[in-house]
Amino acid sequence: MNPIIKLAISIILIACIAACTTTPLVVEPKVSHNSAVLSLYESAQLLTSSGQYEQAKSQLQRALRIESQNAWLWYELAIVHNEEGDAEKALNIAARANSFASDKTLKQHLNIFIEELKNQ
Amino acid sequence: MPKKRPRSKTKPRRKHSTRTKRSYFKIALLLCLGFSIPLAIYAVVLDRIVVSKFEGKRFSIPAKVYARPLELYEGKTLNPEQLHHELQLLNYRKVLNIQHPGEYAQSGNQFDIYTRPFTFWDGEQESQVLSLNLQNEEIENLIQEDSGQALALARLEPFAMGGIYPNKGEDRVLVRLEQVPQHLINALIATEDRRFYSHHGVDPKSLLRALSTIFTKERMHGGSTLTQQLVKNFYLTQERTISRKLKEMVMAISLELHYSKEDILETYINEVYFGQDRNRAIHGFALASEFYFSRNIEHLDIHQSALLVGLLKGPAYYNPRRHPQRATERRNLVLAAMQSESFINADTYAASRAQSLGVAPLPDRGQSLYPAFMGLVMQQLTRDYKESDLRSEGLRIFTSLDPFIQAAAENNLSKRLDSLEHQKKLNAGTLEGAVVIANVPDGEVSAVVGGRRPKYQGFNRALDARRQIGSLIKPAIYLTALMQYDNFHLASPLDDSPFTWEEDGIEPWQPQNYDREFHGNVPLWRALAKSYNVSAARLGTELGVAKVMRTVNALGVEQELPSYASGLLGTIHMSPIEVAQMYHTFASGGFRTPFRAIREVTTMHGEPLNRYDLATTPVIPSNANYLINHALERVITHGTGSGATRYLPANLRVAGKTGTTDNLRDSWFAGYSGDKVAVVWVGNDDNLTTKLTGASGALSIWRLIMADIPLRPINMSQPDDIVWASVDEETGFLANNGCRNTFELPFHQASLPANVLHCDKKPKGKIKRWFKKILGGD
Repeated sequence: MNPIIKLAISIILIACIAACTTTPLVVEPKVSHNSAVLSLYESAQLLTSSGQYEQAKSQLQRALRIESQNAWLWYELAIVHNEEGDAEKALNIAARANSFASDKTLKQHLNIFIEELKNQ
Repeated sequence: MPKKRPRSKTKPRRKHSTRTKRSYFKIALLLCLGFSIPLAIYAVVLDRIVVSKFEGKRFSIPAKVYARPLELYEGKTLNPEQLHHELQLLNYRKVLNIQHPGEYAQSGNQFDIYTRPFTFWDGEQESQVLSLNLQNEEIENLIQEDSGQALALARLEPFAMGGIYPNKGEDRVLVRLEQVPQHLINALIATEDRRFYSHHGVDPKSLLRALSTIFTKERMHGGSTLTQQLVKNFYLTQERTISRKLKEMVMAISLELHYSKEDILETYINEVYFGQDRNRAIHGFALASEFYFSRNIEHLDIHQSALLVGLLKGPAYYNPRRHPQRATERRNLVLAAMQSESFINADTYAASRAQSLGVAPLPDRGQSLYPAFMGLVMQQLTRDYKESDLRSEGLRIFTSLDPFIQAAAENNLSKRLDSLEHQKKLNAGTLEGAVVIANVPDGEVSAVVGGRRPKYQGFNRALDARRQIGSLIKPAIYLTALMQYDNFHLASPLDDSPFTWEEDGIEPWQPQNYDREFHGNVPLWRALAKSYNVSAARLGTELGVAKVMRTVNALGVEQELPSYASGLLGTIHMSPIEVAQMYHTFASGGFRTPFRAIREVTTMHGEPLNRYDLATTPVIPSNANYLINHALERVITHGTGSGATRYLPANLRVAGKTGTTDNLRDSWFAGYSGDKVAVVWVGNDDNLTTKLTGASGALSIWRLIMADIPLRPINMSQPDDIVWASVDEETGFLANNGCRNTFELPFHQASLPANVLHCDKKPKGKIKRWFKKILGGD
């Protein structure tokens, strides 16, 4: 084989291996493809972080009316209930989130969340 | 005998008369003082009454109840018919060029809507011009005109569907004086109280004129100032005695002493009575403006103001809808008064006179367009609010009512009941019905229909008619069995041969199937699909009636259920909304989500009060629910519910159950799609036969309603312990003779024998399990 081609192939192979070993192949799970849902979700997160739980829940319920089976939205709702101190309600809603969750990462998050709630 | 003459008679009289005069004077003075003190005290008392009522809450403002706002976003299912329905409800005017809020323009599938400003629970929303394009029953793009930017989300203001009124049914819209057009004030002054701005509560000239006209025939003016009229309406009863009149005058003077002309005028404008709208009393010019002209008070024309002022003298007598001639004459009289007071010139006078009345058609309202839904709202509100506050504080209540779905439910119920009566040769009015529709994901109630004449505030059958549910209870029996997955699965053989149940205190019970036949061994799924009574009864007693009833309670039915075996065939009574709550749990994958009709409440000024949270609890294991759901889908595809999908899109998965009671007294259908659960009941208020089964009656209404509303198919996620296996087409039992003529059913993996067949070319569970084995998942 032409040495230049050999070199090119080697470089490409090395680059691939380097990329594969240095960066873990993680894809950020997307909460939604719907921009309305996304903006409501982000707004809810902001509101939760500033303690405005009622408004956060209102945003999330509005988003759920658009995508009722979106596990991320249910999960976020469970989080808000937990922040408010209602662990029982948070658990129930997390269970609902679980019934819709198909994304592996989300399922992991949820299971951890549920375990923590049960131990409270 | 001669009389003695008294000496005094010869004395001079002057001294005596002066003393007498003085003593008379003293007596008179004492009398005056004597009377004036209590009179003065009385005047002070009246004064205090005047002030305290004026200062405090002046009016009872009814609570205002809103339907859900129409949300707009890219990709939303929406067709032009639905959009038009909403715009019409909200009184949006179709124009060629939009200029003001409340207008829209349409060109083909392109809609430009100028929204009105509105204060929602989560904040104020300003007016904006929205541009949207509808293609293929969807919003294709949504743009904000001003910025030209794409909008992620927008909503129209919600439709005001009704109110909660003070017991006299008083309704009003409050306005400030600044919002009232000057010509309206002028009309009022010219007609009712020309010297309003100069008198001090009582107008002597007017009084004299009124007194003098007692002797003539003409009674143009009542002689009462606006202030006196306000006192009369606001504080006093309608008696017409002199003492009441005097009281009124004292209080009017008092009012003027404490309050400005502007205050008095504003209160007057908000108080006066304009007639009756069925069970609603119209008070105040602002509401009258909406009621008679469908217009905001700020946009009234001069001739319209004149009519309203003219109505004050007798709203029923001068009713412009009933007596247009009289109303026109009265209006013109007011216009003439305006001209003679130089409020308008001759040209304006002539032009206004020439106008037709311009009255809008009678709005279809009374206190509420949706009394049955309002019943549910009240039920839920009175848990958190005092009824007196609900009727007087002007609260703003935001509900989940969907007017489009409500209309579909109402129209289809009444039309179809007409044709069913015709078909079955029943007298008109024999059949009654009810519909409840709720959202699957969050338990919000979209529609409640209490009877075939929905605008009539009568018996709310949706909430209050408790009727035998018949076969509707069967899914609870089979669910109880399926939860015991060691013993039962969808293809378990059940015994449909003759069955006698003996219990202390009752006659031996021998249930019959609808077709009067016995079917021997039947697979569980088929027993449910065909609604066999015998196998259901036998299975139920085997499981234990109390256990089955506990399942019913778990599903969300709150009443205490007796453990009689006959209950297994639905002798228990439930209302349509209770049935809907029960089937909602199946539809949501085994989660009990109590129904809500209200989302939020704000004060009259838009300050947020409370919100109603979504509450959901897992009550049925998801694997068992998955199975019962599949069986309920089979009721539609292979059972008594087979007519349900006639008008629905071919691939739309739905599930449900028919219900028929003894002598065909009740006809039920409870069914759901992925996002809506709907229950229809048909029956006769006197419990006579309807001659209808669940399928021929309620189902025929259900499918018409569902065909009219946007629906999503059932899409339940398959639990990890569910696998699919092959079942023989003919017998309905597990296939054990090769893969000819089989179909697939879901099973709990632990419920299946080892030698079960998996014939399906597209094994749903098989590949999943295979991957799991390889990747070492749990």
